[in-house]
Amino acid sequence: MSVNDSPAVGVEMRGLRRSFGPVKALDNLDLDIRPGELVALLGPSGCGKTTALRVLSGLEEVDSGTVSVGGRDITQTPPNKRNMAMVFQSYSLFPHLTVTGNIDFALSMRKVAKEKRQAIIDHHLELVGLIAQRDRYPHEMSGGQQQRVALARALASNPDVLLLDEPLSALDAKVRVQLRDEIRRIQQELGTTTLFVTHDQGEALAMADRVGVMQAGKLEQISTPQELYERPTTEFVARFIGETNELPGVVSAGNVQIFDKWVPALPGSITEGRGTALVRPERITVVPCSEGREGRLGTVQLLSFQGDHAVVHVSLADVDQEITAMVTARDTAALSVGSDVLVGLDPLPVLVA
Amino acid sequence: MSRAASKARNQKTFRWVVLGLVGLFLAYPLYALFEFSIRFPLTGKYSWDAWARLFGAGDGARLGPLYVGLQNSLVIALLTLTIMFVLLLPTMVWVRLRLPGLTRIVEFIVLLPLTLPAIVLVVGLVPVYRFIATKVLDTHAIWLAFAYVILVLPFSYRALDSGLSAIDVKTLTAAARSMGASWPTVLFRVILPNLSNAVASAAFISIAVVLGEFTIARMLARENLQTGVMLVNQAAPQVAAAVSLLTLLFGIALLVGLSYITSRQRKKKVRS
Repeated sequence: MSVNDSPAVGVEMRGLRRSFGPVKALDNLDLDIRPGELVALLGPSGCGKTTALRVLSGLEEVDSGTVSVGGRDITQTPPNKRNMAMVFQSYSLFPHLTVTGNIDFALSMRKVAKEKRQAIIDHHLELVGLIAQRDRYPHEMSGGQQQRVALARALASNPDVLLLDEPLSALDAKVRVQLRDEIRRIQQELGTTTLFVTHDQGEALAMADRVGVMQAGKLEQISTPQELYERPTTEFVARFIGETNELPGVVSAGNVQIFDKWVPALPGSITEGRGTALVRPERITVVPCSEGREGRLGTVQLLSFQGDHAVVHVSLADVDQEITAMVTARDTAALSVGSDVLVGLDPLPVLVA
Repeated sequence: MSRAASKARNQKTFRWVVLGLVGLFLAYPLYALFEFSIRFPLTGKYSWDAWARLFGAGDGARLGPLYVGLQNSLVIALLTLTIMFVLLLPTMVWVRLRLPGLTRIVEFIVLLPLTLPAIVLVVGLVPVYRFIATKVLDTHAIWLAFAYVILVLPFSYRALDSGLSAIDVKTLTAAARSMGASWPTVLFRVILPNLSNAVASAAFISIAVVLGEFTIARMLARENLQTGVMLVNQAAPQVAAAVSLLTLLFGIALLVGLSYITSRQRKKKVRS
């Protein structure tokens, strides 16, 4: 149940520019969010991701560019007329109102008839599992509960777009994972178009339909989490998402030679000559030395067991380089610190910078 | 008895002694005022005559200035509070939200009256009030409220500032705006309800300042409570003493109320 059951709408942000003094927070940013989609904006501090979200909400003005929601240009529309709802990093519940009062405030702002409000409030409190806390004040609740209420309050008014500004970063690790999954479940259930800003790549990859990586006010790449991880198109994205090994390689005719082996170079790589291949640890194979196997000789320096997998640090015999590999727990049985191993490479495409 | 227990007992005794001495220091003048109001100075005879006259029995004519002054002071207090809140609250919220760089300048301006003696302020106010009285309004005492707004600014600013610091104005405003709230709704339904204690503190201390103000009213020849007390003092000193006592007690009650509210605010903050 919600205010109305209008279909989800898409968002188009075109050529957005916003400067704070000499700092370009947004530098010709283009971003599309499809109806019902959850897009996460990820990037280091100061990359402009929060500014992009605030521009969409109307809380921040742009120097140039346009913002459209559902095909309607809302660039000049004030925030209170945009039909969006936001969940903030810091707790944003109104301290003088109870849980019910907070959600009721949101509904009254959207001019929902009084007799309909209680049912909507109850429905959304059930959605976030806090129906028993309906008469509590914010200061009587934990941080996780407050953020759940903030989410219920945001969703109750059936916004065109839900904006999440690092809503999990003030919470402890366990609650963060719980709430992360809950937000995703509820968002998929309601099909609300959502923009989620975070600096935590785990959150972004786990929750989003597509993840946009930002740097210096620009969108470096926007793709599905899997594609972003496996097929980064820029050096920044490859380095920012996950771990990488930097291996020397030579590019020629769309392929790169690493460890005497030719693998395809990803689009965005250098076209010819020597470069640095950015290889994920799980693409590196580490096996004990034995006859008939191929690979570069190395010695295990560190073995760190992580439950279902282990991280192995290997120093190569012929060059002064240490490589990090990720191997399955089963394969670690044959490895020990100080043992000689053969290091190989999966023949999947890699980015060469 | 252990050393710690004996030390704690000594500390407690010391605290009570200090509190008693300070209490005595504050209460003795009040007691003296009270005694003066009930003991006729020449004969030494005790009577409630002054208090009876104050509450209506006897010569209303001689006490006229007192009632007029009291009435004026109450209206001035109301007007002062209204102007002060309308002026200060939106300014402070706006500076916090949009112009944080101006905080120091605003603070400097509102705290300035603290450094200016009232008599110096009057020198500047005389031509202003001459203009107000002849060209804009009239000579009525209630227009003293304009000058009193300046006097109460530093105290009210401090009270409101601590209230605003206790809440996350930026986030609450952004949350309300994104939900569809207009600026007046943000101010009246989100910020003000969370500032009720700070607003009460600002109001109490402002009322106390307005009711106790004498210099400006006297120099500008307007009638307020204190000038009324002074006039009555010449004709009926014992009644004037009774009025002074009541005003002082009212002021003390306001300040005790203020301290009670702020300590409750602190406790609430600690709990949350």
